[in-house]
Amino acid sequence: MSSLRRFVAEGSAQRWLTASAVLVSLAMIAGLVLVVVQVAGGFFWPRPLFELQLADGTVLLGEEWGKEPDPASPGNVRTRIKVGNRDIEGADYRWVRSSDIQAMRTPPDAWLVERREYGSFFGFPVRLEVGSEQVPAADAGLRARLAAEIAVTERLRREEKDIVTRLEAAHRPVAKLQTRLSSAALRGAPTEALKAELEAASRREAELAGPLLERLVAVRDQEGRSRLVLRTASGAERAVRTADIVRTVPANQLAFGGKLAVYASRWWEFLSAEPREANTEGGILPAIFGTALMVLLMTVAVVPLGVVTAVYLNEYARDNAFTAAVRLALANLAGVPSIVFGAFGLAFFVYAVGGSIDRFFFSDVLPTPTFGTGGILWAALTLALLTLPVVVVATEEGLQSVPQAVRDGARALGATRWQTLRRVVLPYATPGILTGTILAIARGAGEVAPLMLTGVVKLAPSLPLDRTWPFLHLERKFMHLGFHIYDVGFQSPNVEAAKPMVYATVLVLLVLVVVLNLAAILLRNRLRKRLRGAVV
Amino acid sequence: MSPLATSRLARSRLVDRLVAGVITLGGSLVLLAVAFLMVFLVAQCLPLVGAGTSRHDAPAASRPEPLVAFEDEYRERLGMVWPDGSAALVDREGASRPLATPAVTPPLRQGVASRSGELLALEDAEGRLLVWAVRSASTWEGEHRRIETSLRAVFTAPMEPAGRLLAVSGSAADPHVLIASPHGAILASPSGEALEFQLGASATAGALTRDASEAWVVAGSELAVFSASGSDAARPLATVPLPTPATAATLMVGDVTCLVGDASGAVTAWQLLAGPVAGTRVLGRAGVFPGAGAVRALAVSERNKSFAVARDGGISLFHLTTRRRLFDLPSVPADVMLFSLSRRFDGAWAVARGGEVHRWELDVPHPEVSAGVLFLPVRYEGYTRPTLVWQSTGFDESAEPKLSLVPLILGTLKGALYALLFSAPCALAAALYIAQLAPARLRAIVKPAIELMAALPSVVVGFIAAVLLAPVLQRHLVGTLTVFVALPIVVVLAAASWSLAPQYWRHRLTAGRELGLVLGLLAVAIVASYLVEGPLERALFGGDLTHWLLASAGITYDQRNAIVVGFALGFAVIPIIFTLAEDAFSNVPQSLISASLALGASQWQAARTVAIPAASPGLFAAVMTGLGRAVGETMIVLMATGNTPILSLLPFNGMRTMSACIAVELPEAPFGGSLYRVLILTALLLFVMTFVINTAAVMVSARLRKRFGRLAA
Repeated sequence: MSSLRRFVAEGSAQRWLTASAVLVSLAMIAGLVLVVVQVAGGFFWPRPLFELQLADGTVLLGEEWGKEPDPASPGNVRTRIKVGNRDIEGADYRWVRSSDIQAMRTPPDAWLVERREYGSFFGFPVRLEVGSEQVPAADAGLRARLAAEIAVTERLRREEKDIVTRLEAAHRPVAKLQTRLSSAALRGAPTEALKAELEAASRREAELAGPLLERLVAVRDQEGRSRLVLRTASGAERAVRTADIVRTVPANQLAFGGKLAVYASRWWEFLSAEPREANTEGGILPAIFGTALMVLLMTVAVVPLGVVTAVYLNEYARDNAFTAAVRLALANLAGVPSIVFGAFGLAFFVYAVGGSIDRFFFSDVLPTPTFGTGGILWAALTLALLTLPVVVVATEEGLQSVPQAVRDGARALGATRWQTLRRVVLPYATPGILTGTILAIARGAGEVAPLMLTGVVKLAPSLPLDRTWPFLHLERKFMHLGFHIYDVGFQSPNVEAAKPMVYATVLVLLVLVVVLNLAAILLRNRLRKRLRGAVV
Repeated sequence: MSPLATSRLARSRLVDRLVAGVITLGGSLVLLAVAFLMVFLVAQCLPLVGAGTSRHDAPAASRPEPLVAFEDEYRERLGMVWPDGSAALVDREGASRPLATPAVTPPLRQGVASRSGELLALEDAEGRLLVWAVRSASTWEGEHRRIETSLRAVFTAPMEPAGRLLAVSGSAADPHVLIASPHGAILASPSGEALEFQLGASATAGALTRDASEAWVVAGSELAVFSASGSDAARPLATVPLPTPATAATLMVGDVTCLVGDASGAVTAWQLLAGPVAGTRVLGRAGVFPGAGAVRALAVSERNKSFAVARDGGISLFHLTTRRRLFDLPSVPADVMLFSLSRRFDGAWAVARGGEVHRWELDVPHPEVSAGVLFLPVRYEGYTRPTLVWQSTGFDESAEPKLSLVPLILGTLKGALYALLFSAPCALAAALYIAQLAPARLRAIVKPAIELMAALPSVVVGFIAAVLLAPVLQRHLVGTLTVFVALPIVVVLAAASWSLAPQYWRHRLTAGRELGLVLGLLAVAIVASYLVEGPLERALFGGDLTHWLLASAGITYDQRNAIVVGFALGFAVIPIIFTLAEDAFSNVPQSLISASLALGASQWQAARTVAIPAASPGLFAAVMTGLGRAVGETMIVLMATGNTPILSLLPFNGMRTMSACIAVELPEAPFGGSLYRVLILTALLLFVMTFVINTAAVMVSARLRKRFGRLAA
């Protein structure tokens, strides 16, 4: 009995139990990060292409994407094969029972062709056709020739895109007039003048568009002349337009260096390209861009207000009920769920403020809303409200690190309060302000729920920043990394195929947030060190 | 001093004052913003409270006594048909424009209009039954909307002798007319023989469903529902005796509820429900709306479950589901002959004896919302019992929104509860270890790591929980839960055997080695649970927990359930509780701990008897703050639960929280509609809930601090 009591009093069991709580917490973070890094990191690495001979005679070519116990026959294993060729097979993935596999080899001449449409193609190159010229697969120069052709079609594609942009620009005045006309008709306003204007605009558009359209037809025709013919595992031949090829990977021939190059180019594409195929392929550039711009707008709004509030609380406020109320408000602002800010942003910014702006300045296109619908400005302002306490708390910490003697010294030399603040206190407190800004950015970049109410979309037709006047379109909807994860991971029609992409997006967001937070922590530690020094 | 210096001094003083003003203003802006946020949200919800308003337009005189009247959708004109066979359209100013009518033999004896005002049934002097279709087409001429109305005869048949027209329904191509006969009622239609509904007496009132597939007939003190189509045509589906003779009857939009008004002034809502024997149906009373004065006419809204009752004393508006009496119409004439509600439920009209036309503008924005609907069980149409349901959008237009907040509140609390169940012990224990038992070096590593955990975007946590954790848990639920039992057992056993080890060994256990040892124990617990899982599941649950749950308890196992949410939300809450609790432990004066150790207490005893009591206010505040975060978290619950609003606290089911509901439904809710306002109210409730939780945390911790103040001092 006494030994049991001694055991309990000594408390090594309790110590170890509490220690295991720490380890469980750390294991959760580590597990999450490791899983994301593993899945996202491995996703872009080229995998070997297997040719499988099945018991029923079918031949499959594809990559192996995991094994699991077969639910249909216990004790057996089934393999997930990415067979691609979505336009022929219907689905990207296929489960193959291990017992059904009769033969398995890695044919050296198998290619993975990544296409702009219908996803990946797995097959064997047969020949490259450029107009009437044919380069057979056996030709050693095929890959070089194909690369040259891809470069040519890439130029053509860029020209095509440029023409389309110019066509859209030519159409914009017409579209604008059409909206005005239809809303005028709906409101019952006179429409004669608008109709005449519309006709004139349409004529101008036709003049501009004529030669452009001719060139477009020519470009498209030229694009269609170059094709790569491939043979699928089952023997059928398929032609893929060179213009539709993103890259070709002769996966089984690649050495480590080649694989690394493919890996790097895939990551680069992911970070720098537009999404394709309902966001499940291609890149996430618009989401990165939207996140960055929204956070920038938010910063512009929140930092001045946050700094002013912190300066007020720390330098100007007297110790009275009003100051206590401001502090209480701030504490509550920090505790309010983000979705409540979203609801407020929708009700106030979008419907009340945006609706009023529409009524006063954009009444000619009503009932089509301009600012009276979710947009990047409203999302940024909503998040500014949300991150305000973060900036205030960090700035206050920065201000508190300024030794009182420094202030007194400045005042004793005859500086006014403002001069003291501007010349002495604020420069001293800059790391604090910076910490707050970085933390606010990290918070804003990761927050999704309020954005869902105030202007984020799965696929924005145009970026909020472009070459048409006034360049920064605050009313436009935008894409966001966090929402991209939710949307592609849960709302996408092809969730299974998109999942690795989502992991990659998660990795990008994680790196962004973690780097920002680490920077903030380092800055704050430096500040605290100084604070300790100041007290001494 | 030179004048230049003086002016510069004056200027900098002015700037100083100006800046002070600006900064004070900026500081107060935060207070203003929070106050405004609250007030604005409240203001957005306020329209839910009022019943609505009505305005009486100046009455317009017209020719005396039309037989029937009908209104167009835009409430521009009231069409009327007089006994002499003429018809006219009367606009709001009282100006009348004649309307061409199909050929009739005047005088017309009686008439009745369909609920939608698109069909008219009349009897002419030759005893013929005539059905006219009213066709209204609106065209735009510049800014003017023109409504072209025309009458077209679509059905003619010999009328039942001495029959009284009760109701007309169906389409212009296939109209059905319900006529009272001496032994009940008959249903006349172009398609074949008239159906006879046999009852004890002649029918006094009746109603037809929109597609005329059922007829509700009141004869004296009996209410009966007849099928009017299919093999069992003319067969009564159900009958019920009425306490008082009925005077009026009509079906509500959706054709599920029949309103029967009687001579005593009461209106009773009846619904056809499944009977006690399979295949049979019974009539159930869904509500009684008392009033004074015999019911003269009933009119229903085509937009929602509101209806109006015209009695001798006036006209009142009610809502079926909420049982609310919305309001009474003002300036109702004494003798209402014809009365109806406008199709969009934005107006009402009545024709008094003598032909005076009265119109009312109605503004009833949210009749379907009341405190009872939001928080108490409500019996909806088609339900046999009052229930708590959230189902904001129906399958078709006539389905009413079900806006009970109780499932959402329960879901929110359920998610928070499961999250705290996991995270609170874990985070508090971890904080105790880091602050009191572990060396400071460890603290410098663990604290930032856990702060980083707080910074991980919740969308990431939700994604991993839903995509990775949920399927794994489904397969290894028993094993995972076993870990939490096995871990303490393994640790305690290991510690017990360690205490028997020689002193020499025990002194060599540094903090780092200790942590490594515990990590090993954790691995042992996990491996042991994994090994034990299969046999355990076979022994206790017949090999498969999900099957066993379904078979023995009737519980379906949702893949995305409260356990998954508990872990995922716990992940988000652990760093919050940990950070605050660690601060609380660190703030316990070192002198107290040292004194305790000096008196011979072990490190654990010092922690238990000194540190924990002294830090308890802070610990409480930490858990409350964690609760606040768990209640408001959106993305994790949105992704890791099935989002089904159910009333179940079971860990194997999902839930829908208030926050997730707002995130999913508010973007789609039309601005100013009932759903929009109810969702804003939900946001306000969430705001208040977190406000109360946070304030409670602050207050209780202040009170506890006072109690333990002596210790801390």
